[in-house]
Amino acid sequence: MSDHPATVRRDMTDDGHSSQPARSGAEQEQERGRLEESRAWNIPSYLLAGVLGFGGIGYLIDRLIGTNFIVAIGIVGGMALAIYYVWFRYGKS
Amino acid sequence: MSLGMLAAAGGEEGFTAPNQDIFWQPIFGTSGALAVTRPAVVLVISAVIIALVLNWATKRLTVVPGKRQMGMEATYGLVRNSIARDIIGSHDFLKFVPMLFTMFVLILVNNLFGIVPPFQYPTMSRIAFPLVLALVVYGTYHFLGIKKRGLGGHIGSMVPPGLPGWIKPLVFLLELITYFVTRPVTLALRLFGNMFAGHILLVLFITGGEYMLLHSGSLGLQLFSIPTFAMGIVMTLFELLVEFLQAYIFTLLAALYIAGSLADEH
Amino acid sequence: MSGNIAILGYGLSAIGPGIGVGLIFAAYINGVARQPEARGMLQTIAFLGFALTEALAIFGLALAFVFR
Repeated sequence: MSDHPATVRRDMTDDGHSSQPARSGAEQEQERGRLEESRAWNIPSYLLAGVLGFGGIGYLIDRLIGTNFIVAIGIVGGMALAIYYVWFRYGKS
Repeated sequence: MSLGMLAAAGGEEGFTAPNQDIFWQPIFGTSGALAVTRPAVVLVISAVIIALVLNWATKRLTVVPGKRQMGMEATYGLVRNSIARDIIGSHDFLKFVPMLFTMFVLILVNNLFGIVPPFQYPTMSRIAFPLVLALVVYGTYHFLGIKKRGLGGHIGSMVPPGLPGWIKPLVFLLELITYFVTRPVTLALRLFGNMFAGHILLVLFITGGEYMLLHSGSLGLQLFSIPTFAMGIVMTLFELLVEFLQAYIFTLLAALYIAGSLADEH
Repeated sequence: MSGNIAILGYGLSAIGPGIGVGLIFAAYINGVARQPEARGMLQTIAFLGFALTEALAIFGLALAFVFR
């Protein structure tokens, strides 16, 4: 693969020198928009982490001390925390 | 399984619906972890094919691209411009283009092998393959974060400033779970689940139609096999879309995680 | 045939959020297409709506594990 880096190199030089300063404001706006939009993919990760992580912790506590309601508190609380955090990071503009 | 029951209701001795056992196809050696299975062979073939095609397409480069160079540049430009540059930012995206392009092409070709006739096995429907790719991304973004901020800074940067004090430990725990568990797991599972379910659906439609046509013995079911095969073809086209989309999304998320580790303020 | 009815419940609980997420992003795309400069504001609303809708699907997933 490394025998033929010509395409890569041509693209790299062409970008590094000319097109980067010459890029228009609209293009940069589009770039920012794409980055912002792709952050939506993080949201399910946070929600899953909140529910399954805190629910899992609650489940372990339940197993440890022999109760059976802390898992529910963990799930609901984790979800509330995750939604609050998503609001904090992406919702306040 | 309920689909399997519906299909099995047709025949007398029963139609066995495809389950996860159809993915276990050893070629050399039939037991244990050392067996060489069909997805492993397909992966090696795909790597050889990718190397040959990329070499062939970039052999004689011209400023005005020919047809094959144009196709290659379209693929490369998709990864480089609309994934790497737009997500990571035009300052330091070039370092990551080789990795992202390799991932994109490898996943795309392996996914496409799910519907290309001589192979017809999406490699990523075995959990180990997407898991290794996800672990590469996982290692990369943690390494970049630690290199940029140091270990303590990397961990500390997970909590954004401006939170009320009492909620900080909880958010820290949440971010810790997100960074270390949820991200790699969802990254691997998304690709795995799509490929696994898509392949099992295709196998169900094709073998179900074949069973109805050849082994059911009743005219009604033989007629009903025609829409089944048609649905199989439609699902194959749908799979083509899904396979492309999953390769794109995997690369996009890899770039997004790398961008998150490189970002100045969180 | 064997299996777990909780998995079926999770499948059912995923229908509603699926439709909801589709509606939210359809409205977002519509809004941005009509008024591109409102993107930032619409994005905030769309992400929040997406989070709240997705929460229901993830509740379904968690409860499928809990009530096994």
